[in-house]
Amino acid sequence: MRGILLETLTLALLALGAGLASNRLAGPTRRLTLLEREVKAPVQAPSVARPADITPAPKASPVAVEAPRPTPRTARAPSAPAPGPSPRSVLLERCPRLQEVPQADIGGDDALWLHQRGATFVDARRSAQFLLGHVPGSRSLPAWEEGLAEQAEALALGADLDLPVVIYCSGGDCQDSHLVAQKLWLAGFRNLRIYVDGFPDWERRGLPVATGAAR
Amino acid sequence: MKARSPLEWLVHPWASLAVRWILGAVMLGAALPKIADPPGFAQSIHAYGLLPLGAVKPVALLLPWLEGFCGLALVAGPGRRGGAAWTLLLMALFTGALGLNLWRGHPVDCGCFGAAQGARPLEARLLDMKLAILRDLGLAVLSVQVLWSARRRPSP
Repeated sequence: MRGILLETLTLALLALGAGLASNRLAGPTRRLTLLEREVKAPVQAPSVARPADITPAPKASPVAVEAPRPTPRTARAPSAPAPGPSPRSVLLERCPRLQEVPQADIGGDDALWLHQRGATFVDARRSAQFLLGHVPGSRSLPAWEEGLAEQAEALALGADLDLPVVIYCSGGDCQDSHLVAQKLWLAGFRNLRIYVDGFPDWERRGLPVATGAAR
Repeated sequence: MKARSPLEWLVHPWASLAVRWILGAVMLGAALPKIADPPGFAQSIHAYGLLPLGAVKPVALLLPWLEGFCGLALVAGPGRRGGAAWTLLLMALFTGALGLNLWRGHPVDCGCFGAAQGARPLEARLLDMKLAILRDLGLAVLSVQVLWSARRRPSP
C-alpha cells in the first residue's frame, strides 16, 4: 500500500513539474495564464464622468437592442454637431449604455445592424479559428489564450466605452464570449452585447467573412 | 499439467502485461493531444460546468501530463501500480462528471482525446457521452486488473 502511495505521489509531482515547464515553454496561443492579473479600467472610464440623469437601460433580455429612445447626454458627446444624427448617436439611440447588467444578449439581426453601423466586434474563439474565418473588422480576443487581460486593456485605451461592443464565439453552449465580456467590463466597457448564436449564425446568413489575421 | 482457474487466467502475468499496454496506450493517446493544446482542453473542462473558473486552467495543465505519465508507467512497468491507481481514480472522476451532465441534460463534448468536434446534434452528443461513460468504466475495470495482478505477482 505504501508503495502505491509513493508511486502515485511521484507521478503527480512529475506531472506538476512537466505541466509548469511546458506552459513556460509554450507559445502564446498554447499557453495558459495561471495567475490572472487584475484588469485595470482606464482612468477616463465614462462611469466617472457621466451625468447622473442618463436614461437607465433595461435589464438583460433575449434581444437587448432596444426600441429607439432619446440620445443620452454624455461627457464625450462630439463638440461640433454634424448635420443629422452622428453614427455614435445612432448607435447609442438604439443600443444605449447598459446600467444594471454587465452585458446583454443579441440575435443575428441586431448583430448585423450593429456591424453595418461600425460597432466594434470581438471574436472570443481560438486564434486559429479566427484565422480561418471571422466577422470582417472584428478583433481577436481568445478567451483561453494568454494575454486576454492585456488585450482587453489595449482595446479600451482611447475607445469610447459607451459604444456597443459585440462579442461572439461559436454559438450553441459556447461560453467564451461571456468570459471575454467579463474582462472587457473590467477594462471599462459598459455596453457589451453577446451575439449568442455567434459565428455559425453569421455564416449561415451568408454574410461576408474575413480570413487571416486582423489588420 | 494443472488446469488454471478463470481467475488465474485473469491475473496471469501475460494477461496483465497486455492489459497494461492497452491501458497505457489509451492513456498516452488521451494525453498527447491535450498536452499539445492546453487552452483547448481548458475550454472543454469549462464546458462541463463543474469547476470554478480559477481551477479550470491548473487542471487543464496538470491532468494531461498526469495521464501521460500514468500511460508511460503502465507501458514501461516501473510505477505501474501508481499509474493504475491514478487511472482508476481519473476514470471514476470522468464517469462522475459525464454522468452528472447527462443527468442534468447538459450535453458536453467529452474532450477525452483533445479538442471537441464541431457542432453536432443534441442526440448525437448525448449518445457520445453515454459511450464515453461505458469506455471509462471499461478502463476502470482494466485498472483494477492491473492493481489486482500486481498484488499477486509481478508481471513480465
